[in-house]
Amino acid sequence: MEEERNGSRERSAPYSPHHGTNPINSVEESSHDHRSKRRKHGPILEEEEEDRISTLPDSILLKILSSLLTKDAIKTGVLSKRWAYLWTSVPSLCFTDTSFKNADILATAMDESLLLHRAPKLTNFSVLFKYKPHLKRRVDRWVRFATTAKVDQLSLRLSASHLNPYENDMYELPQHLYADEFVFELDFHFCEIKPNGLVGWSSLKRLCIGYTDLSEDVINKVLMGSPKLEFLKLQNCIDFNRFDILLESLRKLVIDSCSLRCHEPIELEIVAPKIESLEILGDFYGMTKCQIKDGSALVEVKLDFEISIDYESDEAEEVLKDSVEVVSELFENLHQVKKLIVGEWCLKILSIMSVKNLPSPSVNCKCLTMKASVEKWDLPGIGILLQSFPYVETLVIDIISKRDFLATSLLICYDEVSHSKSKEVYFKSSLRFLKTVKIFGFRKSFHIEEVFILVVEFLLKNAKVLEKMVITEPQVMQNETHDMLLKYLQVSQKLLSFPRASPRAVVMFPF
Amino acid sequence: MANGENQNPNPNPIEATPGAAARTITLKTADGEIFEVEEAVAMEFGTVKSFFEDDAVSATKPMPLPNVSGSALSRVITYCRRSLEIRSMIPPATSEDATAAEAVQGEGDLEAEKAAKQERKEFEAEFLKDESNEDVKELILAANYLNIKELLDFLCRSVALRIQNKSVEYARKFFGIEGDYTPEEEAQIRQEYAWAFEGVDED
Repeated sequence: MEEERNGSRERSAPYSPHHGTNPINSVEESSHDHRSKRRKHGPILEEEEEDRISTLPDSILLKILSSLLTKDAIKTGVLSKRWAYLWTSVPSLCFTDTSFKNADILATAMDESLLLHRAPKLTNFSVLFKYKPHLKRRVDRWVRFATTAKVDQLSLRLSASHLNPYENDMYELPQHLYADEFVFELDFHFCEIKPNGLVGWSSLKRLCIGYTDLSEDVINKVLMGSPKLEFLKLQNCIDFNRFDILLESLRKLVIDSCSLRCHEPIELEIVAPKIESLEILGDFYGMTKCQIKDGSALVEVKLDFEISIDYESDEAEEVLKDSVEVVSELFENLHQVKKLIVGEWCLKILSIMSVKNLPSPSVNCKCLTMKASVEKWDLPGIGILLQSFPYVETLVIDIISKRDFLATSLLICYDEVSHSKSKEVYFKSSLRFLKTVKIFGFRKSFHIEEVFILVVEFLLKNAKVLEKMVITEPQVMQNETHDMLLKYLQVSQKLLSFPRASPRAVVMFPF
Repeated sequence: MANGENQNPNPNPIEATPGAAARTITLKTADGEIFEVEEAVAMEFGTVKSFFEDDAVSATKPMPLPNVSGSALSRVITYCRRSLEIRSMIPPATSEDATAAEAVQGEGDLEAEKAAKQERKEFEAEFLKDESNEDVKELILAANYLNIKELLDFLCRSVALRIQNKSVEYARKFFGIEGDYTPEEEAQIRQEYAWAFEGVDED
């Protein structure tokens, strides 16, 4: 270490008096200026520090390289001879940037990198590219390379043409992969999962599968072969009805949309007695039933899905009726849930529900989040939610942009008369325990100012133990016009002027 | 050295801050600055921790850190303090820490963990926002010398973010490396991995 430092001093000394175009020079000079502004210590430390980065052990440099995409890591080979083959020891291979011109170039890049790579173990192997069937053998070899290196995380995201995703032959996972007992995390998009025998993912903790048709048989094989699985996400995969998860270890399940090639209407039944967190997202076109049977361990639920309907068609009303049933039944099964997130579509369905379908109150929910565009036809839904979960202590309203299509299509069920009645009926909640309110997306509320103000007024008037109300914009506001700022001011002032039931309530507008 | 407070039942009154319940350890940097740090924070430094574990004899001088400057140490201390705070947001058993804004009473680890993660994300984004490349380099050297794994991991990730997709010259400048390839050698490497050298950002 000492020698290197002296050596560097000798090397850099002749350079410093010159103002050449040598990039090292300019670094020294600029850093010298910078440092002299900030610190008082002598120049000797500075010159030594220029090369001190190189005195760092390889392990630190490798750490830095590990966070880079493999392509960038390989480029560092040009920095100096010491860096020439550092990248080959980086325990991760990531070819996920889309800068490769086509799949063949990426495949060549991958093959060359694998030849030189010599880390004894891989922590991460990730690929993202537009698969072509003629590359099958090569992809098989990459997977073999990764599993031989006992990879922890393996991600194969093979995208496909958007227009017809299943047109080309999909990549079929090699059979030997199902026997990988070291992998912790698997992530597959557009890969066909067809294990011939049993699945032996004995270390697997997280599994994400997307854009492939999964039959009940396959998903059961997978679940049986993954005894330590904690997290499961299925995106555009569901092509079956009953989802029996008896896994002791599974904590969180995320289901996003049914399969793109769903043949028959889905009647989804989820039996998952050990699951703590459940998310149902995306589009379940054609779903007529969705039940959570025995979700006794459920603590957190997110319902941010929709059942898209062709509103022009004759079945529209029928589908809408089914949708109301779906949402109503779902809510019946959520009594033990402590934290609930309700999305835009579900809220609107709640709004058009007739009284007999309304969920019965639940005592356990302490934290409620609503994603709503807060238009007038959301009001009943908001009121219903507040009434059904009277023990809520934290309320979050996430204001999202309205989707015209959604609104106008549900208007066919919207009854103006019962709406005005509903305002009295539904906004009767006592809000006895509400302590904190957070409202995001304030800016988007301008077009529905009236409704927004109504809701806030109601909250302030009735929340007797309210401590804090925060109204804010998730992103930092920039380039606001003068008019907009004025508007903010007006609205904020109005909100601040409302009477508050709670003497301790503080309303904040952190911008 | 506040060693006496750690090892012996009789606290050494010389270094003790009046009225402070927490024990402090005194550190001295390369440029002569003295820092009094809470013991919990100082124990995050692997170097300091092993020093105190090995040395049973209490000394009266502050512990010297010859490779760390005052400004770097001050940033490091800020990081470790905040990091400890955030970690204490996750209740191991019955922690009553109230900094987790959304944590509901008796909710359980799931909620607190998420809140802690969010806090950490925001804190880390802010921490290096105004730091120049030189400062980041210095912090790495300090974190490496002081043997603070968490900070080092974070800094390495941040460095990677700063140099990713930039040109080789940028990385050279950042690390202050002198290239020792001949132009021919370098050209050959660039050609061999032509696919890697396409499509870079302007510096």
